[in-house]
Amino acid sequence: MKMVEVRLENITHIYVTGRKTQTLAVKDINLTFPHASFCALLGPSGCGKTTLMRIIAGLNIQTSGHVYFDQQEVTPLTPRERNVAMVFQFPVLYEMNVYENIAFPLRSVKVPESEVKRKVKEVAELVGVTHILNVHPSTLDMGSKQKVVLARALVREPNVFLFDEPLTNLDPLGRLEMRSKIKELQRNIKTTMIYVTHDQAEALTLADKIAVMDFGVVVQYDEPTKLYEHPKNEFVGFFLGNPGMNFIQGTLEDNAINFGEFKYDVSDVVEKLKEYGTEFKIGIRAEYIKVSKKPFKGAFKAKCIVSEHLGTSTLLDLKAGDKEFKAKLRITDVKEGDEVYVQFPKEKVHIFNKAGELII
Amino acid sequence: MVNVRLERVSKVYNGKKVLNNVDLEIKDQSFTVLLGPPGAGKTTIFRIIAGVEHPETGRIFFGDKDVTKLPPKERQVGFVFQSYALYPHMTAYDNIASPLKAAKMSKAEIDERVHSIAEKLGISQVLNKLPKEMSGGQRQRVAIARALVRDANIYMLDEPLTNVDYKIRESMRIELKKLLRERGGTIAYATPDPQEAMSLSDYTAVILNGVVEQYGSMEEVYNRPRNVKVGFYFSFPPMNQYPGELVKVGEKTFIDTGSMKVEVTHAMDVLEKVNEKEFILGIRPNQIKLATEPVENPLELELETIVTEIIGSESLVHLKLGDGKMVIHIPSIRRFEPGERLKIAFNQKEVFIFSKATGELVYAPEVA
Repeated sequence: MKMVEVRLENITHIYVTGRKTQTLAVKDINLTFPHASFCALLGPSGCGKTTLMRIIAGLNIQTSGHVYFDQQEVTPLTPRERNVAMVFQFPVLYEMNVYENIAFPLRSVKVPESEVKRKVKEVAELVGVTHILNVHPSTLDMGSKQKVVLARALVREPNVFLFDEPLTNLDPLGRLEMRSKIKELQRNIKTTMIYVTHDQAEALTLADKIAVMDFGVVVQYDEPTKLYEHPKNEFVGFFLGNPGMNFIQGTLEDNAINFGEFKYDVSDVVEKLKEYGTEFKIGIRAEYIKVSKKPFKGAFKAKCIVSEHLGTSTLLDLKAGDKEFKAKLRITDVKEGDEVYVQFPKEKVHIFNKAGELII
Repeated sequence: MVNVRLERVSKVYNGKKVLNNVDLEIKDQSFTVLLGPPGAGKTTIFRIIAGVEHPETGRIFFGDKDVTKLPPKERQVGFVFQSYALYPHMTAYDNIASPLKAAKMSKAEIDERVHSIAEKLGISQVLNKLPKEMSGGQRQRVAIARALVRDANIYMLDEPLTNVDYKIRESMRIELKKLLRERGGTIAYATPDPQEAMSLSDYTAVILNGVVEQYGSMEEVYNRPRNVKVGFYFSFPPMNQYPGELVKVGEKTFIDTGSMKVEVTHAMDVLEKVNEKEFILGIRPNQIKLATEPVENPLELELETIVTEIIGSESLVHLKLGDGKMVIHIPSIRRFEPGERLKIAFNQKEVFIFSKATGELVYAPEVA
């Protein structure tokens, strides 16, 4: 299989939406998807991720900027010439059996019949559709159809695979199966894959690197655990994780950030913080907050407003003064209305400026 | 507000029995969750309670009153559908006000009620907008407001969060819980999501293939699933299941699944009573821990990773076990690579035991 590096250089795209109106879909994007890597574009709807993918595929031509496959600039090339394989949300198959569907791209470039047979067999095994080769697609469930689409894409030996939310329409079990299938496939064939999704679980599970997008720009491009543990701003911290990271706003006073009912000591970094003014937000993930019904060293008092039992863990909505935040505990006897003692472990706290950009 | 009761209700669509002798009680002032996969019959039950669908056999009671023959508008139910089903040409305000207008309420009272419920649901700022000008989350809030704005015998919510973006779902679940508790009344809520059932319900009815497999308090159903099917479905992620055979080694008794031997000596009393040789072991993924954590009565295994799924802030690791697999649930973000070997352990006294012949529960672990 081929593997190319896909590189985007200063990509900006503007949609003309009316005679005098236009929409900036993506703005000055620079991204490199390395050889044989699995990368995800992650963000809420309208963030520009699908536009970016269509630009890589050649379905849209960017307003300005360049797209490279390895050293070659592909901007002037048609989608066919770029040889990209696309898998969309809805599987589109031809009115012929699964074997013929997979063989179709080979037939259209007149590959000899013996070669067709060999290749179809090979990819069918890779994707796990050998047992349904004689079946007509209309009788297949969504998951199997998506596998056939995958096999048909694979048989062309594309330069790069592009996925646009391919699992959205599958039921939970089918989604899980397909997810592991794609993961396994990437490991075996080592083709560069770019995956567009709004679902953080898919991105975190599948991708080696994730570009988190918001309002047409890439907010952070990093490895999954890096994104989760060290978000660059409030958007990334909140978007990843369930629940998202807590952000609590307070005022710098002397050597601590004051939140009214409690304080967070920052004596070690106070000089640096002073450069950014007096208003700050601290960010901490729900699962790192320490909660107990008994007082302990360094803890402050809070009240439990909601306790939500989720089987494996319990999610608590806590309130101290006018500050609310969520804590997630594996085992707890804390109930709604209880007074509790809370502590934020230093090594898990991030400090952001008022605008939500990470400082420490 | 009343007790709502279904008595031996059956319903056939296109020759297929979608509800089979359903007995179900939704208690006055309770929050009852109907849990089941798509197509199990949850929506049909709601439609029959609302009176827009009629059962082939069986009766429906509101309190002592048989309402089986009563038309929908005389039943006074509030209904939220999965797809928002708002009137597209009406503003949010008019959508919410529509059931009150139909009930010929005075303008002043309508105005007061609409504003009050809109404020509770955080949609005051969109009251003048049309559905197409709102986000998916706002549309669903409007639909919920429309159902709750009137006084009803029962409020039914049919998968209200399924079509909402997951980020919104996360906050809406808690909001909805608070709101519905405040609102009071008899509430029935259908969902395919076991976590929603756990988080929301006082009572849970597990519905599979048109049959109420089990009904009881949420804790009761979760801690003592009546059979393998309920155990599998009312668990997130689904319960691991392994058929195996009873074997005795000296004083001890085990169930041997071919790929592991789990000690069940502690359950001998009940196992002897059923007088069978073959059982199914059920282990919830959250009962299995990485061997670095302390576990009582441990059975330790070293298994190979198939794939790791990261969901929200948790990880599910699928491990190879014999010809099948074992899924374990880790409450943090960990990504184990395919092929990586992991040492895991679980408490053998925390394992559920079902009869292989009937699927019925034989032994449930004690709840701490």
